[in-house]
Amino acid sequence: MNSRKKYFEVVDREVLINLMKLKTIDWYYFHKQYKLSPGQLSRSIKKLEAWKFLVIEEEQIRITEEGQKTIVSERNRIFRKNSDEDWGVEQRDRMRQKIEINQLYMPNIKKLKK
Amino acid sequence: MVNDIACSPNATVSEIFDDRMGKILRRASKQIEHDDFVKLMTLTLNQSWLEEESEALIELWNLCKFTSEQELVYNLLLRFKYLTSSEIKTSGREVANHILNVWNLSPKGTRIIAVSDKREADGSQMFIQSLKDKFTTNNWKENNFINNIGDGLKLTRKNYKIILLDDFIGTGDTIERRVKWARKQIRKKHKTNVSIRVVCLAALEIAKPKLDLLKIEYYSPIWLKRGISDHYKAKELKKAISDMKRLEDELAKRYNGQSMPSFGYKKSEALFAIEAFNTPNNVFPIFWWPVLANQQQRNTLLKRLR
Repeated sequence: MNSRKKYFEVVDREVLINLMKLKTIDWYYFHKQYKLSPGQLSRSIKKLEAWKFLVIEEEQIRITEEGQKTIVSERNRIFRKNSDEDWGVEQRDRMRQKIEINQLYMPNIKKLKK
Repeated sequence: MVNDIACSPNATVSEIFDDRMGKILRRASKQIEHDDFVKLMTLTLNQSWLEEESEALIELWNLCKFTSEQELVYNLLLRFKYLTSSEIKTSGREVANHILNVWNLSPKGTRIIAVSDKREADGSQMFIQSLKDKFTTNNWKENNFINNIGDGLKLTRKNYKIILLDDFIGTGDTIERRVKWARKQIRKKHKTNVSIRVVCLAALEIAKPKLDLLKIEYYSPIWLKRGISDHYKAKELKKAISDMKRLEDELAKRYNGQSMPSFGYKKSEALFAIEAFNTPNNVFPIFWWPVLANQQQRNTLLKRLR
């Protein structure tokens, strides 16, 4: 399962992090703990079930093996703060070599408008 | 750092989530009891359209004084047919297929006419607009589709086949009136050999006898039963009726100069709505009537403008 193109909302992250810890959780837990409405929880767990992270059972959800593996392998993308959008520019693409203190900045002359 | 915390069994959610995002998320202001939450979750999982309506759903749930009323609401909502935009497409295709391949109608001499007869926008016009793209072959043209019955009949010539179209047929009263009026106009203008057919997106089964009496061909891809009278029997039926009556006591009897149609217009007991369309007044008013008996506005699952 590749979560590269998937967008995780706050509710999804709350569901996944708790599933990672508890494996099987009652639906009600998320309402009691995080004040999620039936609509918020339903939308999230249906989406995560379609992405094979979990299975919906009577009154509870259970993490799948595939889901556990994906959460571990793609934790950076799933849980990082201010996660990039797919259309965002990767930070490393913007990185340039750091110049030393007092070193003169030398622009790329070829790229300057004539 | 975040990655490590995320995989630690002792991690707390606040350690992991972006606070800014956490604040954006709207959370429930009050806690629901366990059994109620499970019921409402089951409903929401079965009826995706309720995902956006949790507040209204909880309000309706709290309007119930007794468990039997909650059971009734639960049961009705589980059987509710909410036509999503993708289902409108599918049903529209079925209607088009019926016109083209069952009735074998060709564009020449055929007019598909929305039954709208007022200046105000209505569901039949929305449906006819969504139907056009299913007729892009065999020389069908825009002028085969007329958005109101008055103009449609003016454009009708002798030997024409006209198809009257509505989004929803409830009791059948409206379509019966339109067909009779169309016949009268056709006779008055001496347009001979004009046939009338009727199509819709969905209809209540109670409309069938009325449609049959009109002696016309008609087609609906979806037929619906009444929510209470066609579902419950004997004691259960009596109980469901009394529970619904009790629930309706919570609603204002009149609003905006209109009476609340108890159990839906002419007690049609419909469990049907179309996404982004005005809710039919055939639907049980507990799902859309906007004012409580104490004149307070209420948050409703469905909306209807009149």
